[in-house]
Amino acid sequence: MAKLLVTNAILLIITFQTLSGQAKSSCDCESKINSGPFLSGELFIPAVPLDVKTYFNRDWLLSDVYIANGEIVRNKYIKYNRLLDELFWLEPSSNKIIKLDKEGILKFHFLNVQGDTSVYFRKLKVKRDIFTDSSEIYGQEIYHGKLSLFILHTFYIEEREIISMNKGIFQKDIYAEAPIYFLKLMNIKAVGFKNLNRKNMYAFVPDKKEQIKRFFKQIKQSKIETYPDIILLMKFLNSIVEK
Amino acid sequence: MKTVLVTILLFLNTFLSVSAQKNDELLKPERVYLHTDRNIYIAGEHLFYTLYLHGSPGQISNFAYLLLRDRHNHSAANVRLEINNQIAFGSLFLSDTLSSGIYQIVCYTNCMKNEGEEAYFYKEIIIVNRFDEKMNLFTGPGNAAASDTSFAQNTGIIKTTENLIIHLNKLEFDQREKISFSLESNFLPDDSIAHLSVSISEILPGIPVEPSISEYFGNSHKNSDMGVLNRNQCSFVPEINGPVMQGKVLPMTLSDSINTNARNPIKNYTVLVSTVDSIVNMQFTTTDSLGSFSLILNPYYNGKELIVKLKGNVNSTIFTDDKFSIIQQFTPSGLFNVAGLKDYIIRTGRIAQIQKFYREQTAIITEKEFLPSKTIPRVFYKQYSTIFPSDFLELEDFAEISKEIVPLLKVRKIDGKFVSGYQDLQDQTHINIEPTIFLDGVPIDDVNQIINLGSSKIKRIESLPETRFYGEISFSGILAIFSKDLEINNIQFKTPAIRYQALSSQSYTKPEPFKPTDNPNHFPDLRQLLLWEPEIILKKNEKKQIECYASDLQGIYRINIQGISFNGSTVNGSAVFIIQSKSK
Repeated sequence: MAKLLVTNAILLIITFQTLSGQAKSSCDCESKINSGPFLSGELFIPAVPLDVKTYFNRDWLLSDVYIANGEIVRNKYIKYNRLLDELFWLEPSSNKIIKLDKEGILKFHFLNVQGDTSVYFRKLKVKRDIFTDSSEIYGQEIYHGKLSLFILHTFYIEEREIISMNKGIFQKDIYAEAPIYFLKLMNIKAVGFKNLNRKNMYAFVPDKKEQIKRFFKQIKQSKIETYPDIILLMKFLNSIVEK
Repeated sequence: MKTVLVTILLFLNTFLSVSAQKNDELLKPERVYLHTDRNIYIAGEHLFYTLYLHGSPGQISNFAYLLLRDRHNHSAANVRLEINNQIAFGSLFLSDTLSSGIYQIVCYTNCMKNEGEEAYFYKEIIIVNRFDEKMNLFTGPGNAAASDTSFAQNTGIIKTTENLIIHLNKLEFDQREKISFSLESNFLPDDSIAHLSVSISEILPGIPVEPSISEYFGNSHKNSDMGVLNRNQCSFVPEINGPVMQGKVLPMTLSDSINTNARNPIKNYTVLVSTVDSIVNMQFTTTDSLGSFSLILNPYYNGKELIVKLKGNVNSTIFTDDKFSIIQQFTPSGLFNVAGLKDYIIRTGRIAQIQKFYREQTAIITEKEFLPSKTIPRVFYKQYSTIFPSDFLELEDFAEISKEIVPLLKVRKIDGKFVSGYQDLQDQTHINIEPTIFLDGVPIDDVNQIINLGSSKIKRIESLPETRFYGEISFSGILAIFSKDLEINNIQFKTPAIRYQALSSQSYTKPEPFKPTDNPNHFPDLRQLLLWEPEIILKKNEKKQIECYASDLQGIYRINIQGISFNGSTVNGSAVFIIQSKSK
């Protein structure tokens, strides 16, 4: 009988302590108040399903989104589609895909892309060709400095396949990547190049031709394509460009 | 077996208690202390203050509230203070119309409300209206309370509780003589700096010295029943990241409209907050199981009138917290029942009249202003189409406007009521749901509230005929109408809605230091406040030199210094000197 009483007492105390502990951690603190900032966008229902290859990240990844009013919306699941150059948010309560207002975003940061915590995209105003007005794009920030480098991940249709599915015939576009590199000097407009080759660098810094020539000779390549070489080039360009 | 079980029981209890203590270690209850330049004022003067906040480092409130009330508990002034480095300073203008009497200053943070009003800081002051010649209120008996005895002692550390050394080279100064002294503290921890406030003002002997910051914080923490505060269980949220608006949504019942506690709460309802603007703006939150809601207000809303409403239509009432409501009644303590007080305040009143005659006014320097932020919580950034009705032929009402100039919007009349809707929304499941209509930046209930607005009353229309999301809220299209004459003010909401005045923080102000060159020699210098410095930074072992000038008023003056260091240790010191006539 005494044993039973003691056991009951222990159980009672443990239950009480557990409950009180839970009560402490489940109340409304300031950190738990959801007062924004909030993401804004429109419901995205594409007419034709998007090719998964065109997404920068196939899975929804946690990210911080820096919105136009200077606030940061933290820890949201987003996907960036390179073909559309649009950012999508997986709205958690309805599980719907929202295309975020590009006008309302300054930049976004994928917190972890396969171990890489430094993947940033920044909104840039660029002139893609001489015939069109300036437009806003999301450029992946590759190098940040006096002279910064951004990549706009674009695609072109490499080939078209006719496929039959569900007793119907469809045309499927096969896309191939065609990145555009944007060099941006401080607050000056970004200048785009299809390649980071010697000729384009001459055009970008015409008065430093000799130094550029020496640089390309040194690295024994006429076109920069790999990430370490891009960083080398950016460090070099930052050393020669004037404020 | 019994012994084993008892041992387990004791072990578990000890372990859980220790871990609970560890969790709470960081959460000291907050306390505030207010240092004022004086404690007797004439209506029409400024009251200068520095507020000190003591609490858990890193988890300390950023806002405090200061209320000045009279003996009838009527508020004479109330302000919100923004705290930086545990202090806030500024001034209150004591209106010319205030009647003579004893007033009470009450200071607290939102977090302190959880401990009850006993935790608040209270201080009594006298405000005298110079047109009140009889001063009958101040004819109390002599007071036997402990008086300011500091004059009897030497300069330097005066009381045992004082840890600030004031090096004052003499105790008697001539009229208009330069007063110079230095102060230092060896009690500050290494690499620590203290923020101090310094006042030098005339005193009336006999009025008890108010507790110093060290005494006050020491006593108030000792007296605190809780010892530590479990902030997870706060019903008043600590305002660390911004000002918090709290409230409750309760169903409206005819039989029981007053007793709010007896009603069933409105759970999981979305509360919308927005203000009248040329941009559609909004913050929202949801009610919890008790019908309560909390919202960290965006700095953009500071000082603006907000419209708080429910998203759904439910027969209920919204209650919001009043930051300045105090239940405890103010009863003057008799602190100022001192012989000679009446004569002193009559003299003070006359001084104020002479100062007015010579147009001597305290010039105020604004050190920091807290302007509303420009970061608007915009509901949308995308511009689908903006329509200016003035570009078209004049249309009589909104039914015509929607038909003629707003693409994709349909307004129909069903059973005598107008219903609006966008065609071809992406999400066909929302086909019969009306778009959310904003008038002058604020969401309204439906199109019937704007149906009478014709082209002549509408400045512009923004239309987004798509299923929109703003955070977790979805809209079956957005229609934003901006009127020429703020028609939102004429709207009668069908869903529960209230207007809420968001507070703005008071600017950091201080009096301009007196310069003898600014005062002509033939003008009397009748300053009773010789110096008020609300924020002086003192390092350990640093000797800080402070200077001011004696006025023409002969009397006893007190240097009163209070302060706090970054790690929360308090410093204070005081000294008393006399100003006497040059001829003496």
